[in-house]
Amino acid sequence: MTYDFDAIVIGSGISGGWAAKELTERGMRVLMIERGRMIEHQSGYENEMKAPWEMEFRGYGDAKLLAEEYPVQSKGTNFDEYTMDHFVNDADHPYQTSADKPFQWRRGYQVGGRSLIWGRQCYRWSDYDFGANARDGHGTDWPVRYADMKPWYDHVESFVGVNGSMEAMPQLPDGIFQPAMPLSAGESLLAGQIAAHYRDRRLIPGRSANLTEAKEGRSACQYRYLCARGCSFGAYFSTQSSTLPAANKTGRLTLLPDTIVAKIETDPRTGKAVAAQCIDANSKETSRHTARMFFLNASSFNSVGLLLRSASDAAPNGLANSSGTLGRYIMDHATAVAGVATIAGLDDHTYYGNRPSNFVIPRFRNLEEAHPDFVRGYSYQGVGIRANWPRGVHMPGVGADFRKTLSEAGEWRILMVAFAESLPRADNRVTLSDKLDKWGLPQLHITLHHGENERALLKDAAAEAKTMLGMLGGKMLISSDEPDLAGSAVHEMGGARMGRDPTTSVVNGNSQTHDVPNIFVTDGAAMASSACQNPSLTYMAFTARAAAFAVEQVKAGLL
Amino acid sequence: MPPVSTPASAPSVSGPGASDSAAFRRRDLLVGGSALAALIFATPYLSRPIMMHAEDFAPLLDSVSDILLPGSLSTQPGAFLASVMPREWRGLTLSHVKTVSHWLNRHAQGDFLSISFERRFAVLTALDTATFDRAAAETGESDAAVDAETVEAWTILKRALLTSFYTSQKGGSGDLAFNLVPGRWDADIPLAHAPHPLSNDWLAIWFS
Ligand SMILES: Cc1cc2nc3c(=O)[nH]c(=O)nc-3n(C[C@H](O)[C@H](O)[C@H](O)COP(=O)(O)OP(=O)(O)OC[C@H]3O[C@@H](n4cnc5c(N)ncnc54)[C@H](O)[C@@H]3O)c2cc1C
Repeated sequence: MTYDFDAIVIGSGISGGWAAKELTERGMRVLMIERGRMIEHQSGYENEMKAPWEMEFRGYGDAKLLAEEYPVQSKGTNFDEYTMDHFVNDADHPYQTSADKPFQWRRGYQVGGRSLIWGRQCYRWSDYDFGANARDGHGTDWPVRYADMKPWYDHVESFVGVNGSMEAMPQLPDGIFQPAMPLSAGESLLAGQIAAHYRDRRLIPGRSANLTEAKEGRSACQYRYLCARGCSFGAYFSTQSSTLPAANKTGRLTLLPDTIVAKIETDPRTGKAVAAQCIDANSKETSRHTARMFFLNASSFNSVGLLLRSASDAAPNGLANSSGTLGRYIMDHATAVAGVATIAGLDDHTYYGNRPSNFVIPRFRNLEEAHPDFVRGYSYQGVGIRANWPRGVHMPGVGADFRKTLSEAGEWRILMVAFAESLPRADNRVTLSDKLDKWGLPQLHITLHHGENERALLKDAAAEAKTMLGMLGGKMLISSDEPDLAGSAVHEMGGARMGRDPTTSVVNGNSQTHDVPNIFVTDGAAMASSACQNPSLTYMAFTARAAAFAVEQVKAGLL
Repeated sequence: MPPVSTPASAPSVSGPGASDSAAFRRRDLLVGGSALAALIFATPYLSRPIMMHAEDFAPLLDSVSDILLPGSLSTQPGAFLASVMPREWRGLTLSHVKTVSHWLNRHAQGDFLSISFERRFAVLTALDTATFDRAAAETGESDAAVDAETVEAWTILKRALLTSFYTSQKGGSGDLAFNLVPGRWDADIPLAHAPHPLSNDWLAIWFS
């Protein structure tokens, strides 16, 4: 049989960009299909260099429009008037969810996907994570361990450019880092207090995909923190700045934007996937593209939706779903603002510039000693800043003195957000709804509720945050242990989980579906547990690893 | 400060001719204050209900802004807020402005805009103080002198006025520093080296 391409990659975000890069660099002719529009690196970043006074709504957006058309996206991080075109219009892209605690599905449908708007925090997972399901019995055991993943973490970090510090903490393995972005004065003070009072925890600089040293045609970070607008300096990792140019350089990539993959077609004789059936996002014309293999990188729930939509007579409950687990065991970190406090006695210190990163206090629970109230763990990410002019809303004042006060630095504040691990549970799931979108495709129905374990973790996180922040001698402003609505962490994952057993999982240890060997799921859908670290670096590592495996299979004549 | 015993929605006395309580009631429903108020009294024709639009409050917004942040008038806060208020920018609606206007007129014992700058300053300060006193009262610390609706309205309007100024070129790159491309991250420096924070310290803006 002849194919239009060796491989079709569905989705051009963080994981799709990696699939395209790795497959083309290994000699494959690749078609990358993306449902959203093209955004060119540099020239496509329309609001990148605008000041607030150059924006119609001074950066805050048209509140009525946001309420009507962006009710989910507009409540999330990195969304504002400058960046809103990098997020989906909710009205155009509806989904169904539970009415009581609606899932917050934050998305970016464009070339680059959410690589344009992500927070860039990059953390390796350790064997505390890959071994977690086996250890406490929640979910199915991962078929991989850190040793399997380490070379691939090395591989992706070397290309991405991750800044960070070497810490020798087994729960957060060190990597191949560019120089770290230092802690602000307030953060250093807290780090010192924690080091002096605790042996089980440490506050360290965040690890982020922003260059602190120039690299392969990309400049070092300019400390603007305009990342989500797009960065002409190419200083943070995105499809546009990094993987797309690398894939294009091979001459073997074809990129097809504005095209929705509606269904993967299988050959009833062989059971193998043969074609992607597509709909033009603008004209709604249909097309079909064949390939030897398919990489699903449409983002966790969209990849699951695509497999569910690809049901056939041979696979009536969805493609690659002989286990019946497709769509189940979805997860998202449970987050809460564990603490915000002021710092006393540091008023003559400040900082300059915009560091596009944060600090992290890696997980310290359930490492060697089992906690009586919960399994797994949480970590904190936070920042120490000096309050700026909006503090004026919350303080009395009128007149010249008030204006003078607001022109000066406000008090130091430390914010700590807890990210708690989400347990894989069968009743948290994605299904197809009977409601259709405007392309006639079934909408997704997403049910994801945090459970008792997540609540117990956040309760502990809030209590611990209060104790740690209390050492700063300031005032506690906020502390919450109530989980934000699921989806708020934007670390949604699972639904096509990885496992050894084809009767209880969807993909094998090589990210290949058990049922259809020429389909690879290498985005977050394949996650069998959630850890409490940001997951995208792990998606990248799995993608690169799967691409290498797939090409070996092709060369061996097995695909 | 005049005693505040009437809820904001009740009729109130706000100028000469106060004996005509029916006229006050009508006016009260419609007008927060401004030169237009005088016209209504002068012209029987206009004393019938008329709709007030955001731009009708631009003079009031200009005045309040310039008292709150002296010098902000040159950034034309009234015109800007009137243009974005219909879109509920920063949560601000016409109703909030009317509520604040109502309070100011009542405590100006007339048209707020017609009294001297010193008295306007005193009345606005009284509103701001009463707002924060009320917040304190909720924690049991002092007596409230303003109703909850006005507290909410003033808090939202104050936020809109501050945002309007500090996102204008004058506020954002005059009072505060502005450098879209800092090019460096100095994690710990003496305050004297950067006495005015960056108005583009985006994280600090979000978390303040
Ligand atoms: C504000 C924000 C902050 C974040 N911060 C972090 C962080 O600090 N660290 C971290 O690890 N993660 C972070 N994330 C999450 C991160 O963005 C995602 O984990 C990551 O982008 C997932 O990569 P992906 O390739 O699976 O999906 P995406 O990057 O979402 O890309 C999927 C692409 O597939 C396309 N697509 C979907 N369906 C179809 C279809 N049927 N046909 C064709 N194309 C399709 C979409 O248009 C999209 O372009 C953040 C996300 C957001 C929004």
